[in-house]
Amino acid sequence: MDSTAQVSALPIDRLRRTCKLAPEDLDPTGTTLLDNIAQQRATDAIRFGIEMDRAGYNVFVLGPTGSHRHALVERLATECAREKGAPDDWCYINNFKDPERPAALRLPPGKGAEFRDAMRALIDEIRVSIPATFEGDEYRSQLKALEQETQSEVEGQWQSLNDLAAREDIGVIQTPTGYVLAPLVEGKVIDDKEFEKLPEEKRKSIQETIERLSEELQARIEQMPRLRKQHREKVRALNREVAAHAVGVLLEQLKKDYADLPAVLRYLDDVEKDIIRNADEFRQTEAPTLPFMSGDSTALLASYEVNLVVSNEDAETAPVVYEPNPNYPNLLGKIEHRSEMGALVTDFRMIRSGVLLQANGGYLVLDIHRVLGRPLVWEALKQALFTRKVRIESVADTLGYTSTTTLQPEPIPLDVKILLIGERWLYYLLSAHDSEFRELFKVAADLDDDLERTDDNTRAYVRLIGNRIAQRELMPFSCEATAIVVEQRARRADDSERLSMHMRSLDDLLMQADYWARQRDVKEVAAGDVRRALAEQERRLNRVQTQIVDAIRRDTLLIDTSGSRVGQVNGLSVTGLGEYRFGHPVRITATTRVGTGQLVDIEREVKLGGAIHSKGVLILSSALAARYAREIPLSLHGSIVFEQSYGGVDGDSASVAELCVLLSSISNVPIRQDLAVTGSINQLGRVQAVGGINEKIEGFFEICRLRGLDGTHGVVIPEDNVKHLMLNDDVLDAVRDGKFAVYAVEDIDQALTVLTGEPAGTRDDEGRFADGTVNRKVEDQLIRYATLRRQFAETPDDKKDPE
Amino acid sequence: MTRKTRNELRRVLLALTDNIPLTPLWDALTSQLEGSPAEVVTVFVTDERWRRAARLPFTREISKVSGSSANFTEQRAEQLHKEHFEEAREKVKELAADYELELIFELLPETDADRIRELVEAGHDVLIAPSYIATRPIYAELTRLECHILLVETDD
Repeated sequence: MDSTAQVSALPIDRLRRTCKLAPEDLDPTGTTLLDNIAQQRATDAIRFGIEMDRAGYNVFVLGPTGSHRHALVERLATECAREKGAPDDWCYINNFKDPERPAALRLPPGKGAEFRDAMRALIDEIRVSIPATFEGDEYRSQLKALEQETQSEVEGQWQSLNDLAAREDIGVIQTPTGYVLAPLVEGKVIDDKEFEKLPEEKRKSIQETIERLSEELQARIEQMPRLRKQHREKVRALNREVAAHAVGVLLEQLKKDYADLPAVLRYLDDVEKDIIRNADEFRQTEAPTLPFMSGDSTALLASYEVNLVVSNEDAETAPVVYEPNPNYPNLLGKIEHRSEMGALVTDFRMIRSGVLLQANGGYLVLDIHRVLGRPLVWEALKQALFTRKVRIESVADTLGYTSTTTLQPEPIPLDVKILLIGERWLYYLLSAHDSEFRELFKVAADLDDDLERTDDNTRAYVRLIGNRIAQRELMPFSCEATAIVVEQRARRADDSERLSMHMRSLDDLLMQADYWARQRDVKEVAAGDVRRALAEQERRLNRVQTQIVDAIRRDTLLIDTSGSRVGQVNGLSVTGLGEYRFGHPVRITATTRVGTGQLVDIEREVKLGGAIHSKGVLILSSALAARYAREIPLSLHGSIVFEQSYGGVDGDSASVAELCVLLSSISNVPIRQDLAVTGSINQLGRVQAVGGINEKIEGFFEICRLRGLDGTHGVVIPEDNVKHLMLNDDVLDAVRDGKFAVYAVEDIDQALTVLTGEPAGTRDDEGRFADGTVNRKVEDQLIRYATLRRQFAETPDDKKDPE
Repeated sequence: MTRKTRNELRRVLLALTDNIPLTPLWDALTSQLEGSPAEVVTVFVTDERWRRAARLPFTREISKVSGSSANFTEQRAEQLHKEHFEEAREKVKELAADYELELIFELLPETDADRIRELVEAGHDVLIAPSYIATRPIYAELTRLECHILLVETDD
């Protein structure tokens, strides 16, 4: 475009790309899915990660909240899971050699529950049949025979001693605590006086006999514990023999049932040995000492139970698990404790699995921000993935703070694909600062935020809308209503040529339009319902916007919308409050005088300007010098400020406005106040696209509308932003009626031409701007400043005006 | 409750000796009484052999638990008798708590001929004693009682 030509207002068809639909465009089947029309890159990446059976090929799905990342990931994982089949079951069983290190037992899918129930049935059988065996006549008879045998041996010992003593006329007298040996005379213990009367030799002989017999007695007493021990051993051997027979019968069928599972057979052998080893326990029938204490063989029998921690009994496919609360116990599992007499105790039956094990052999979907937000979880997850094992331990153990009895269960081999879902910045942060992350999550699936708005894609998108309407059981949408939804999706994408893939906001709009239609008691959602939903969404959030508009209307915030002013322009600003954005005008002023080429950005001086804003000001300063002062010193002192701006200012979208207001101040050419301008500028004077273009135009339009549109009002925008225009009905109506205009400019000259109403001017063959043009006035003034500066510099110091 | 006069009461002589378990004897006693009130004279017959053996200067008691030996003196023998007597008395009281019995206790040395005579002369319905007592000299005296004698096997 020729910079000197008059810039025309944009025709109405360039202000919003409308959507026209026919009934056949709508999807009556509701089968179109998100990744059928978009997200091909992300979908391929997820499939690649899922199918890549190598270490570290876990997937990180990057995308904003509301893009229905979970639905996509879970659906793809479920598809792959169907091809894999159900994984094995896992149990924890007692380790009879070291009960503090419970053993893990792997069983084919569905067999875990079966084996657990079989062991429960076995325990019930043992509880009844083994004690019954000990109560039986056969056992009692054998036991009695053993007791009699021992008794006979003991009695034989005593009888032989008594006989020996009797032959020596010595009596063995029993006291409550022992035995006393005393000489007898005619069967009675000799009286001490009679004993004294006996000859010395006889007395001595008696004493020697008693001493000898005492030694014999002591020897036999010392044998008693050995005899008792022998008896106990015989009884124990008998018990073992009886128990072995009983348990052998009970286990026979079980061993046949699991003959093809060597690990189970080994465990059953261990159980059998343990029952035989502890056969004595099954004879105890006394009641527990205290109510809460387990009596007899209860604790022993409990050790034969099976703790099924992962069951795929009803599963036909590999598991796909999503854990919304991935704290340490939920992820890794935990070891519970129970209180017994004030102490916390545990055993293998109190081991609980976490989702890592529940998803073992399949897919686990986690939100990265939840993983990182819970203590120890990220490190524990990485460790499990590195070691490919799940080690269940309490958090206290992990921290080394355990002070009570706990367990060290055997780690279970881990074969799980982790699908992390998170915002992009978290992916980039982890990539930059956690080297292990890169090793473990080698596949990034980057979801697109929007979709190109081709005709084919638009039709597919319409079918997607129909799908979501069907899924949520909403009323049908009319063609016009659906078309408005499509247009709103382009507006949401900030681009008339793209459609937003933010599914949550789409669902919200559909559901809210459905709500308003139901309020009207109709059977179909009409265009008005969608518009109402959009208006109500805005109204719920526009309190701040209303306040700003009101402040402008009441001249608290000074914005002129008529006339012309030197050194004053209406810039446009966008404010974001959560997901809601709105635009409003802001007054930018500039002053200039002779100086040393310094351009003061007051926002930057007081640290209210951000880095990008400062960059913009420096660029326009450079552009100014390049355009007007290539062969003369830039002898200017200028200052620019956002009036009545008390918060921070950032971005370079006001740099066109800032350069225009600066040139207005230099040239003394007034700028139209019925216009507002936005756009950034480069050093060569090219006007570049900015963000929030629709909100900015609508923000200025609203102020003008309140004050009364007179046909002069409008907004100057970068030409590169025209493709982003999706303006609302109010603006379009005003443009259609000739009351408002949008001007698209490519460079600063076009912007100056529109804003001043005077030609900007171009350089002729001699390099001079034409007389009367804005550029000529700027250049002349800058030459004047340079001359004044030189003259001032040549003036002796004592003749310089102190001012 | 009407109390029976002394003449209406059954009178039982329960003879206990060292090292004899009380329960079988008590079971025999309650079986005899069949719940009727009675006067029970519990005679703890001491083993005179202890005292005689204790008087000998060289007698030692060999522990049945450890086989170790210690001097067996008259004081030791006396102490054992008393301990056994007290223990038996408490046990009898405990067992008699559920019955309507009048209890009399007596420590009786086998050699106390006068006291044995008094017992023999006093009227009793029944004498309950461990079978072991039949091997002791006192048994000959007791058989002179004009009452039914019930010897109980105690398996000790």
